[in-house]
Amino acid sequence: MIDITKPRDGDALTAASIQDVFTALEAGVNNLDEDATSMQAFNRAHFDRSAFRFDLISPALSVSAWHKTYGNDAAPFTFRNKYPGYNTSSYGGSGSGGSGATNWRGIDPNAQITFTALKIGNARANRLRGILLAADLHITEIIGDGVAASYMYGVAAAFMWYDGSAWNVIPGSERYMAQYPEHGTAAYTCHRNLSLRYPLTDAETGNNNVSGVQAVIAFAYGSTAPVPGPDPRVRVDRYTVSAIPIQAG
Amino acid sequence: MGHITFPSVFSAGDVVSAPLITENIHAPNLPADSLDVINGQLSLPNWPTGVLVKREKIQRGAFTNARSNGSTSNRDYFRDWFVVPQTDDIDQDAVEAAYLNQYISIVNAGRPFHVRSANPVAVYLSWALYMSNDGQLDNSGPSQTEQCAYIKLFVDGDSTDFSHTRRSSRPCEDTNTYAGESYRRTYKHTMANYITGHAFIDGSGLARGMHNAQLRLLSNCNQVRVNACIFNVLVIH
Repeated sequence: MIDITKPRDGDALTAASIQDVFTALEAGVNNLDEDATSMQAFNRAHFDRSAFRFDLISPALSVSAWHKTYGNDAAPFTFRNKYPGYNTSSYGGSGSGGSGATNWRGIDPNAQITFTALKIGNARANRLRGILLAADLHITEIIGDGVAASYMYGVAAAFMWYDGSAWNVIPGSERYMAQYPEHGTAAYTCHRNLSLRYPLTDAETGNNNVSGVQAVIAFAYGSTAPVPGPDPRVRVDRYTVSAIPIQAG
Repeated sequence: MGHITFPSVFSAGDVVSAPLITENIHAPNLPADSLDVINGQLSLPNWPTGVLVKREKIQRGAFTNARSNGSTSNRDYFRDWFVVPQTDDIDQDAVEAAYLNQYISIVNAGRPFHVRSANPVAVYLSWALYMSNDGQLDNSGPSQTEQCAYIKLFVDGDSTDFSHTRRSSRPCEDTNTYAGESYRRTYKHTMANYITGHAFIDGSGLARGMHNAQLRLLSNCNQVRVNACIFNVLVIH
């Protein structure tokens, strides 16, 4: 509230006494709490872009920083790592590769969205309640390498978040698709899309810092299918990955 | 909350005049520096550094407007429109580039959106689409291994920045026989396809007014069927 001493009848009005009133008014207005304003008091005219707290993720992320894209069928990413199993955070790096490994691989080092460490949650003073993650991967080739085409092989993808020392898989974000694979060295392509959407909250991160997120991928096949040849692989030639900080309340 | 500094300051011995007092009570200055802020004159320069305004204090729709468009129906696209030869495997950027102007809008797979003021923060677009095959599509013609359909985002008729959204599908069942390929090529369900996608548009340079976002189709198949789709637009001002 504004605390002001009002002049009374008979008081002498001087420059100093008038200034006392204005000083109190000025301080009072400037000290008004946000709750002193009415609901929905503000609109776009009262703010500019700085009102959007994307800069909660510091340094401030431009659109290009929280939206990673790639599209070039002449230079696809090829992954040879095998799916490590549900809720397993084994991580083997980002980009093409992974031959003989059983782990996740990031789809592209350039698709990692990294930022200064922060914490997420309803109790955080920064009001960052979560980060909405989205990824769309264009799968253009699944090759069992020498396995007959009558067995399905698949691709698993998920999101991982970085706690400053390790990448952690988000099990609820794991998605899987299967297709009869190419066999031998046939160059036919498949045409599939893997879509991931997940709100990253403190349900996953707890009280830990978060400083990065990325989409990860792995080649997958079941135990009843014949083991693929020495070079099973999955190819991705396009992706769209986004992380949208959600501030609320 | 809002921060003001009265323009008139009185010290002992100053002559206090009505206009000087009025300056402190009501003055149409920018930024607002009088008690006018109480009447709604608060503007950006009045905010203290680092202020966090609660969501409920902001008018709904002040910073965002969103629209969605969805439909379920069989939309069949035949190759009469497209000039892409069926002998061309268009699953290559280089081949697609030659036929870029052949993309045709998919009915109800897109929608116009309004930008209230120039240079919004961003526009977020997302979609999901189902290309079906009930086994009755026209699969005749040359080898279906060379037949393909593309879905790609266009905004205001331009797809330059949206190569990453291109998704391909082989909507036709292949009636041909390839050694060792029979399983993959003849299973109808493998010819149907879910396609999802999303994209951000950096609002810098985006003009005030109406814009149009669409999913478009390029194909050299005899027949392509889009069955269901939903398209969402979120403008962040």
